[in-house]
Amino acid sequence: MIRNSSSIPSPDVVPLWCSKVSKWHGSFLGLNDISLELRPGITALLGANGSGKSTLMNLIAGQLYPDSGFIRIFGIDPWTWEGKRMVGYSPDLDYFYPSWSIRVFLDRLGVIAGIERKKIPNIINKVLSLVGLSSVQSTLLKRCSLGMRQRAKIAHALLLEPPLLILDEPFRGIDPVGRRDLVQLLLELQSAGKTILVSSHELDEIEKLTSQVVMLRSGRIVSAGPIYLVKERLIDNPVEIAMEFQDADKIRIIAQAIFSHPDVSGIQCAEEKLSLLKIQTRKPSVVFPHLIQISIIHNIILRRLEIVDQAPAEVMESLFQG
Amino acid sequence: MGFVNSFTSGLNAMLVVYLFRARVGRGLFWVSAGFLLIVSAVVLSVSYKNQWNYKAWKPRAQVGLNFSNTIEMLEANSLIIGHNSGYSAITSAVAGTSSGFLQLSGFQVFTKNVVFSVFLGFLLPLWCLTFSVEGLGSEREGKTLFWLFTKPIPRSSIYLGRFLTILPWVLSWSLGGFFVLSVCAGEGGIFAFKLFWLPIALASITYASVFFFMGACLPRASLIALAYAFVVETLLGSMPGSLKQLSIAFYARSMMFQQSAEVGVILEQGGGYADFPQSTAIMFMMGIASIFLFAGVFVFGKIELRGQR
Repeated sequence: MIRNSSSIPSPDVVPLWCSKVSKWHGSFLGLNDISLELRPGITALLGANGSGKSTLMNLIAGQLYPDSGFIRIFGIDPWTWEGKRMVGYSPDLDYFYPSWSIRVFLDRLGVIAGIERKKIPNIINKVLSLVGLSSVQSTLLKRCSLGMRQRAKIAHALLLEPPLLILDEPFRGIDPVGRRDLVQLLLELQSAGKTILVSSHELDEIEKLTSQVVMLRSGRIVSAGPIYLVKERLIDNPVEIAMEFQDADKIRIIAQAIFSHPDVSGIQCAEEKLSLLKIQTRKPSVVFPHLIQISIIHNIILRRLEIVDQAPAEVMESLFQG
Repeated sequence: MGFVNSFTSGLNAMLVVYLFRARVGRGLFWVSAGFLLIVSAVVLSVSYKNQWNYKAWKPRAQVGLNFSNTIEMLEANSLIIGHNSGYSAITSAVAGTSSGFLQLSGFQVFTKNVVFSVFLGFLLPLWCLTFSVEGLGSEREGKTLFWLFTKPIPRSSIYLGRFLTILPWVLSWSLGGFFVLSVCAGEGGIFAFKLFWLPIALASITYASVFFFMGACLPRASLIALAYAFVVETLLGSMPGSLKQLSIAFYARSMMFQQSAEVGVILEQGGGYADFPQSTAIMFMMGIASIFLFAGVFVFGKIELRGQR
């Protein structure tokens, strides 16, 4: 249900449409020319810390405004108050009104959201039951566990029954039983026709939820679509491997040996540390054994051998396992 | 639902949720309360010594009779020279006028030494700041503003709604504090309260608008507001010449000056207060309040919650 879109869509009927969206954080480019179109269903947003996931979600939820390009939710700009009606957002932040209970939190935000006063109790009972917080609704937010606060955020996102749900790291802090229930809830919401964008590092849960993924790296969409297509594209995605030695004596000879491998596209010696090599490759699974073999042949002690961008590596591993 | 409906609904929601839940920085609150206590104690001690008048006042560099003695002497003179009707009448008139002035001097001394100086120049900005800066500033600093921004109501309704929720607190605290000081000062103080409640209320609204803007739209708003209160209001407000017109207190003083003149008391020669009729002073204060409210609505509408995480 995803299209990494540059075609001309009909924005009025598309749940989420991002067109050439860029966002700067000061002098740092947080998102770079993102085009994306989501249809009803669950889509996972994957990427390392700092890859731009939360920035993209904040833009979609109307908390940030794009520096270029635009976003539409059923044809409405999410920055406007009308757009907020379309989005239920559970952010990856943990700031609450500490002296309010879960129920009071939902009740007051319901009032602010413009829900009719007499309908609020029923709506709150329903969302509390959905997220499994009915029995602890009177607990003050400052006394809630991280998992309870996460579920309170999801309940808050469901208050207005919006057609689009943006859930940033919803599984963080939730116990295994809670995760199972949350997966179930999201699948039910999907069946009800909702469009859901979920970011998470919990790939087990993501795989249970959806086969649709969008992968971000350094503010760009590296890959988007069904998981099997993403895997194929990721195979060709360049990664950097850090290789550090005990001493820097043989570094020149080793660098030459490594570079002789056809799948190594680049190699550089780190300026800050002479015993550290940074190796660029598109096929880390092939290059890794080669690096180990070289270190054995030249009888050198390795201090470190890892893919620098750790989170995408985890993502890839998980995707390859599937 | 159109904009107007949504705006009204947002305004109403802000009042329902926040009217009786004003957030006040504990530190600032206790500083404000502490200053009220200290100044009240000083005013009370002056009242106890019966010094809110010119009875004991002597012209500068003069020794001998004070104001009260002089009046007594004039009254005695008019009795002694009672057979000379013309001279006696004049002396009696001067003594009577001076006596009347002496009765009103409690109000004048209190206004000049407390209301014009320490109250308008320091206490009122501080008290208004206590409630106004925290209005949306506490949400901003506590990073809970985000929850309001996810709701389908115009940001202008959040801003104006929250401003309305702090206004009763600001007015209660500033007028209540002034009332306490006035009561401590006795008859002259109570007269000053009856005469000056309006300029103080208007100045409070203006200060509230300025400090609320700072809290909602600027980082480290409490520090900026304190700096404004001390530099602009306290220092500039007491400067000679037209510089003092930059302070909000100047317009409150102008109003008070005119009101005092209407009851026959000229509070301070010079100072430029006579140049601003009451209507102009009111217009200036309400103009400043409106400018900051509109500026706040505009800037608040553009705020991105960058770095919330």
